[in-house]
Amino acid sequence: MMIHCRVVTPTGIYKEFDTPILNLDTEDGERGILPNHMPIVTMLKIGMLDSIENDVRTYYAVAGGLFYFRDNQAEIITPAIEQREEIDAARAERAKMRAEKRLSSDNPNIDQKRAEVALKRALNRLHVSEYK
Amino acid sequence: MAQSKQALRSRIRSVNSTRKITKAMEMIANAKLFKQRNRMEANRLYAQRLQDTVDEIVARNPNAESVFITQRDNPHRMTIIFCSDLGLCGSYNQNVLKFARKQLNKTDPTIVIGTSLYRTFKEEGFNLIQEGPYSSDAMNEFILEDFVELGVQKYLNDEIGNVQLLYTKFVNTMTFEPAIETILPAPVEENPSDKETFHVETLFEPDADTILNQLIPQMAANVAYADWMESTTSEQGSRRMAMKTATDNADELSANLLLEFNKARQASITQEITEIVGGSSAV
Repeated sequence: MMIHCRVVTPTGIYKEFDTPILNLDTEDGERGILPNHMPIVTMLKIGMLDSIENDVRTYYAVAGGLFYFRDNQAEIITPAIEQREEIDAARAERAKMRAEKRLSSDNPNIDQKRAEVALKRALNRLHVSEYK
Repeated sequence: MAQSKQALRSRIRSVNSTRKITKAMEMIANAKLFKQRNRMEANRLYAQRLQDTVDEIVARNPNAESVFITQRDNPHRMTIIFCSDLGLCGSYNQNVLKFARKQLNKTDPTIVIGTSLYRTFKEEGFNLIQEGPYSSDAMNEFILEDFVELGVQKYLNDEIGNVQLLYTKFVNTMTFEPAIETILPAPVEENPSDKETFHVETLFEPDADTILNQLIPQMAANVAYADWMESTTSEQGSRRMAMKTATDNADELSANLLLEFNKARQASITQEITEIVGGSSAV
């Protein structure tokens, strides 16, 4: 049994693949979805997603979004996703430093919340890219 | 009275050089239109899936009472208006302006994206809640998200009962219409079409309201992004058409002037011959 998974982003369909398991970071904890799971709709956290595609474990960094599952058809609707191998660690590192600098400055014009989200995304990318 | 050859020649030269510019602008607008349109199409599925999911959650949870789907009595509406940065795009900006005058209440909070109409809106007394003009070309989904976030905050504080976008709809490559789209409270399709699948029980984790409260602001930001792209696509389309008309006019003008010039040239030759013939017969 396989789950057919489709990843939809604002720039189009990122990827479609079949996997026997999907591990997600949802708002209320990590969750593993196996085939024939009951239909579920849940919100994803900024975190990691992993699957087994063609017998290879594949890791993704997901920037939040929505997870939708029914009849073994899964759908990940997310603003941004990268596979571990695609992550530009140097760029994520720079983004992290920029976000940290912004958070530590007391300039009232800086949107703290946005900087926080940016930091979370950068940390997540770094975490996934270093994940073994 | 025919114009002098000299004057005609310089006018032809001037018309042709203007034509070169408008032709180049037409081609640039065409390329940009194509690019922008592809981006717009790519986003469509994402937007559609978000909307479908919201519809489904609401349909399956009739007692969901997220603040983002309940209609409010508050008559104030916040509007984000999209216009262009640059001119020379036909009636694109004028249409937006006319539509805004007709549809909007000047005292309601408004944000204008695009520098060309910022001053006009300000002078007309619209309640702009931004500090300075925002460039439309420098826009991206993150900045738009901030504007939508501002709307969400005002909505939650009950300062406004409605957040909407005034954008230009891209009907086809020749037709563009200004339109208003409401993003908050989220428009929900009451009777989604695929009813038969609704018998299957679905798990909503943690619960429908929590999902809706997170999902709807996300969706609103995406709709704003989509509408901005649609507006810029319309802008490029409008510019392309305006420049095409200008180029065609230049062609026509240049052809007429050339005819005029040749007539003048012919007339002067005829005159010279007459003078020579007349002169020799006198001798």
